[in-house]
Amino acid sequence: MNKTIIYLFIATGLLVSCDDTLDPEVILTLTEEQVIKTYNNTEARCTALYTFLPNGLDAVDGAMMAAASDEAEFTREMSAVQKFNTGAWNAIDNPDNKWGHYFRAIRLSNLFLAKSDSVNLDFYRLDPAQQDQYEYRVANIRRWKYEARYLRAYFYFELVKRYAGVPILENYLDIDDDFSAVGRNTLEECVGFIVAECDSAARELPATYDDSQYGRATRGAAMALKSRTLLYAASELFNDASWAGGYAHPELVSLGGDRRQRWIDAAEAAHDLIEFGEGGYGLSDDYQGLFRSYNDREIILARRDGNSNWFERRNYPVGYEGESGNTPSQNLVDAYQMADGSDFDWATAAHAAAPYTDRDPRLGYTVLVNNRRFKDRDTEVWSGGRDGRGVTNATRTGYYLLKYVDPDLDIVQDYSSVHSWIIFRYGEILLNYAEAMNEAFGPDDNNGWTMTAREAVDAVRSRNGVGMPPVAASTREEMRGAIRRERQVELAFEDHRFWDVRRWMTAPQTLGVPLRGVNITKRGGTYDYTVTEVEDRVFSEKMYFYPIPQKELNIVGTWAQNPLW
Amino acid sequence: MKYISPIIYLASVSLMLSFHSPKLYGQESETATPGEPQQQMQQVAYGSQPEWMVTSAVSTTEGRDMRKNFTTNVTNTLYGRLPGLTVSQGGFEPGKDGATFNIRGISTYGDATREPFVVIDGMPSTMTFLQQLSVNEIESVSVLKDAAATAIYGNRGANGVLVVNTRRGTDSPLKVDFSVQFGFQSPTRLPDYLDSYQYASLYNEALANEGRDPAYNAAALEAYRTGSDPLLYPNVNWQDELLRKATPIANYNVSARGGGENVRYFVLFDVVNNPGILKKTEKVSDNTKNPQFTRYNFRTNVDVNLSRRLSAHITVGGTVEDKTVPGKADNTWDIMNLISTVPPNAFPVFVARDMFGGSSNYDNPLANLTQTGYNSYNGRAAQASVKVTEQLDMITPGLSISGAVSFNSYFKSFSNKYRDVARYSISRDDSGEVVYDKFGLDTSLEGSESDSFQWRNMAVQGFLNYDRSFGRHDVGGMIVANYDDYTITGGNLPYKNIGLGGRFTYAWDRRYVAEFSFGYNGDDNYRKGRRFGFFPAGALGWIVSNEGFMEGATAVDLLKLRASYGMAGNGEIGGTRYMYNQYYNWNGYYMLGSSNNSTMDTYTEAQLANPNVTWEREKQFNVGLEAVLFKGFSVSADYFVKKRNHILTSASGYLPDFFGADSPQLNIGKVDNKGFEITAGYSTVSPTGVGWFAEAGVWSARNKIIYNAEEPQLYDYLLGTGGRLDQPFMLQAIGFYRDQADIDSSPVPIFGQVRPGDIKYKDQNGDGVIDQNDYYPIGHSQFPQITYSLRGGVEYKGLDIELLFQGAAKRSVYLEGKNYWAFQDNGKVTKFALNRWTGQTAASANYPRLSTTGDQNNYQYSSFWQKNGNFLKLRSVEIGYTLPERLASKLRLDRLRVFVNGTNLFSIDAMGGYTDPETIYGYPAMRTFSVGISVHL
Repeated sequence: MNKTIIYLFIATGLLVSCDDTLDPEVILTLTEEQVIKTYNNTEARCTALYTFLPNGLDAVDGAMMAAASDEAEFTREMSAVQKFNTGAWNAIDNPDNKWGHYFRAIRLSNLFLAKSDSVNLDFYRLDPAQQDQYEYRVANIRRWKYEARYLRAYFYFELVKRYAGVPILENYLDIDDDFSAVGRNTLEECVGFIVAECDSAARELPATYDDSQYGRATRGAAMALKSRTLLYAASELFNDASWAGGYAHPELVSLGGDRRQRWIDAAEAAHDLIEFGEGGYGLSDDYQGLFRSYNDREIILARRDGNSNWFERRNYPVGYEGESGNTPSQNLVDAYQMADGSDFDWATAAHAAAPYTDRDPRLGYTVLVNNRRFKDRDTEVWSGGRDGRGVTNATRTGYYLLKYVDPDLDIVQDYSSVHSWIIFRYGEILLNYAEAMNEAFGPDDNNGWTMTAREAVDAVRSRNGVGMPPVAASTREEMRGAIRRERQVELAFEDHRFWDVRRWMTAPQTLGVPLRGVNITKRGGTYDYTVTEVEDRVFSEKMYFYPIPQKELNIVGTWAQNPLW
Repeated sequence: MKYISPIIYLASVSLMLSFHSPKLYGQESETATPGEPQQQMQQVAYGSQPEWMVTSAVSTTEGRDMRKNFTTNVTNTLYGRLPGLTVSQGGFEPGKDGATFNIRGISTYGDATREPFVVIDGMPSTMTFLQQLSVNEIESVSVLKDAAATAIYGNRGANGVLVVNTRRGTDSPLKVDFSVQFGFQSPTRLPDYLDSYQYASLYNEALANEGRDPAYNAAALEAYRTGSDPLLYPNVNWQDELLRKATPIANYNVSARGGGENVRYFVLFDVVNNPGILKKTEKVSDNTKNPQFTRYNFRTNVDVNLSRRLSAHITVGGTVEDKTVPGKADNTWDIMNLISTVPPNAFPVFVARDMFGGSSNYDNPLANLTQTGYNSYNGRAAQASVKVTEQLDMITPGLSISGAVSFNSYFKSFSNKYRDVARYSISRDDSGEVVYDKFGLDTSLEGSESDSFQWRNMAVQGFLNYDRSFGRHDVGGMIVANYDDYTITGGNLPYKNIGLGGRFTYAWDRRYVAEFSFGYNGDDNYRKGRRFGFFPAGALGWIVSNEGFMEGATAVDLLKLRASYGMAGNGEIGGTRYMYNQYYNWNGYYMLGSSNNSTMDTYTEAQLANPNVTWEREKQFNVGLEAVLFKGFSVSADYFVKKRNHILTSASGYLPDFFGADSPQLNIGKVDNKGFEITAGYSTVSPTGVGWFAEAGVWSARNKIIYNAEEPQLYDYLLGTGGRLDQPFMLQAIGFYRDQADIDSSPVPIFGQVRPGDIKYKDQNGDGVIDQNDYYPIGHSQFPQITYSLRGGVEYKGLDIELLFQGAAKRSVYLEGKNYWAFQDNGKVTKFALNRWTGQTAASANYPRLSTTGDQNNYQYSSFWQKNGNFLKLRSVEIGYTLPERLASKLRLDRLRVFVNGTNLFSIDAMGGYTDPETIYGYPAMRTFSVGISVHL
């Protein structure tokens, strides 16, 4: 017995002396060394960059960006998106602070670019019978780098539209680097960087992918990003720092140079894509179905997801077991014209009595209004109705969202369906073109290209299934108004409005005025509609750009905050 | 009210200067063995030492005292009993009622563990296992506090060590104890929700405050007031529908102990049962089971002398626990949350026979409780160890060698049944007909057996012991080698620890004691070559009362001074394991393909590696004094300074976000922690036969952040460095806006438009704007800086009374969420909001203007919602009567005692009677009244 104890004692002592006992038996998580050597994991590092693309269905604390603009109100009062509407945001607390998100995406892009050449392909390279496979893999790795560069440019665009000039990092930073040596690049440099990266990606990326890889960045996506970037760069906000009240660093928030040339460049970028036959792009015939699809010919780039139903749970009317979610505003609904191309007007008795009759068909595709068939019954948005005032969590605007929503989903049974978030589509490119052409050449001068501004905007209006008559505008100013209205209704809820009214500098008149809704009273079989104010909205000029996060200023110490913050 | 608890706190301090008793007057010690007088032994690391020889800071309490708290969880019996141990109440739901322990406060932050290392019967264990024990099987619990006591545990000693011993046999004839205790628990305080009429009236008022039309017209209000139409104008008190007024709690216990010179044994069987506060559900539904919680404990501890030199100690404990909770969760949180949400007028309980009320927004609490199935689990724990000791007197007297091995295992498996239940809203259509709208679905019960949880460990220890006295010299030496590994559910590798420890004590003439101890151990979490650490400690003791010059000082029975200094570590640093590697994480799938047919993996760079990651280190200095004066008056005091460094800290404070990576965790944090423990007491038996004792203790630990790599701030008051851990930073509320003129002339809050009656905040930086830069360190954390206790008892002719008060001071709590914020998230209103601000009540209001919307201004993190969290609680009181021996022996009993017990009877605090200061939400704090009988055969 006592020998046993002695052995036990000695054995324990030996264990102590042996560091190896403490080595982990297996490694459960991949280390960097393992990841960068294998082809599949290198592909997974590239694909990971796509997960950083925005999903606008769930942009800010459950809400869409539309709820931070004059397009909608978000039903949940405690959602952080309301801070945009009350003005309760600043450099410390910004509900849409995507700074860290996109700089992380940019670091991962840079890491990919720096560490994608270590893949061990010897298995294929050394086997004469596998040379095809070897070549295929080498070519893919090369293409992934251009995808990464394109996506990095896209992430920079997302930063620049929010924060104006930001530091351009083409290599990943090391923890021992001197961060105070990193400065903000000028807006000119940022725009130039994005455009140059788009040009180089457009040369190298394929026009389309085979079936299994469909959805990756294409040449068209690169051209679309260039079009949008140059359109923004030509806009009011990016060319005039006078709103900033003597801001000491105008180069961070505005560009110099020939404004008209900027419009021409923007028009040309859009034109290149319109003329780009290989992409096979065109307008969709199914305006409503387009936004729950990812392979329509109108789509240039989309953020993809699996099947789900959370968007319906969040946005179905309360009477259909939803949370009401993003509810369209009267401000938006009033922007839809009558089907004959005339404007809607509450002062016209016939309009006010039946406000949803004979309207632009896109209203019906975008907004769920009162007494409209939805699922197994008509909606009841009137006071006392099952979806109306008096029910907890009912809409506060009198409308519900239909765009992006799958109306046929049975959420009680927990069924799900496809959703996607379109980042670029052909319709936007046509409107980009129309806007730039109108500013550069007026409504009816095609500058020798295929379309005039008017033709482009009319193409969007007259798509199959919408069929709106041509715009009535004659002067450049009228056409400007028509194009802006067209963007408002055509691109509603697509996260354009929030930025468009900023770059047009019309935000004080659009975001800074009360958000309106409608009160509906049921009298027998008819309804009375009264426009009401849902809430006061706050916009001040500093909000043209987001403030740089306070943390960055505190740590770097030398950066200028954006104007007026 | 607000002065009561400081007064009692002061009273306890003054009382403590006059009394103390570590031992109960005259009561037979359960461990005492007849024969020659033994020296009192004190538990220390891996063994015990004679009390006079101990030079480290250790406190001990005994199981028989802990049993005065009647609860289903042994951790709830230690309130105020161990100086230096702060016990934070965890809750009262049976099976979820474990308290949190901290020794000498908190000295670390982040994900590192703040809790002590737990040792049960000499073997490494955890709180999970401790909670499986019955208080009836516990002999004693000790806390090891200073470095001299814990250095031997190496990188597990810095948070202190909790040493638990179970009861063992005695060299005495068989004794059987049988006891039954039965009582009722009821909530100490429940949130007081307003009824439908008050709810609707206040809702209208809130709407009016926002300039909106009322939601309820006069007829509706009248219907709520009179209750004339309970279907369409219901008034439901969901607490009454779902909760019991009182719930039974019972304990049955039988144990036997005895033995002889060669074999000694202790066996126990113990049952505790408490169904909890939810109503029984089986009677009303076939879709669920009644709530219940039962735990069974078994124990067999045997000590055998195998030969003159060889002895074995076998320790086996087993636990089986069964718990059922109706509904879809394994605890009551969801159901309690729903009760605190659904307004009283939202819908009736039933809209028609077998049709539950409900709406799109709210589930029906009763339907969820009774119709959606149940969760039940069965937990099994085994704690077994064998230790064998061989005396090696043939080599040299006093030398012995031991080996021990233990296996602990806890396995919990769930057997759940779920279903969905439909609910119906009710309304009248234009013609006045009742219309039902169905929400949700009725489905059939589906079983799920897939969940389980396990925790197990294996430990091996080997000891070499030497203890001998030569004349005036007392020498002790001990070396221990240990290995243990832990396995926890969840795809983890086992946690391994290997170590060597030693303690060498020399005493001269029972006057001077010197001790050196060390731990040298390694942990698998670190890079090869950086896994092992060395933790030395030294201590000195001087027993002044044994000095010659003290011989005349008859008043002084004992006076001992001691001091220690040393190191210990904290190896449970949290964060990613093996963080010396740079990992890549799977980042989900991304869908590609023309029909979403390609599911692509994605990998991204994980948190940056820390190649040099290591454990926390602490240097601790301790001085102590122990004295016994005038036979019965005793005092003990300790003062300590702990300096913790190498605390794992995110570097994000100096990495800008454009860096783009998750900041690594570096061992750069530093925290100091200083404090004291003082206890004093007196015990005596008067000539008339009245025995009494009183004891008071107070202990405090005040920490300070020395360095935490926090991000630079525009204003120094926003910095945590130099302040205390978990210090709240919040806006300072300075009353309500009186009127529009007041608003116009005040700094502008950025939280949206404010109205008269909204909370006004102090502009700390004077920039005219109220924003996050106006956050200010206000109040304390929820963890009390000071704990104090008062204990006293009287015994006279078989009658005994004992009370224990426990209090906490320098503590704040924060009231937020549904029970405090009126109408928040479509929730209800409690009486808390009755004294709200209106134009008329502006002078006396203590609640802001009502609002139906999530008010961005009033619900800011501010001092308005922070309350003084100090309290003094009567944790236990017991009155017993022991039958005189003559009568007992007529019944053929050794002893018979009947008693009544109250546990957690009341709390004196600043919560206004609204809630318990430690249990703010969910399952309420409970008080227990019980009666019991215990019999010795």
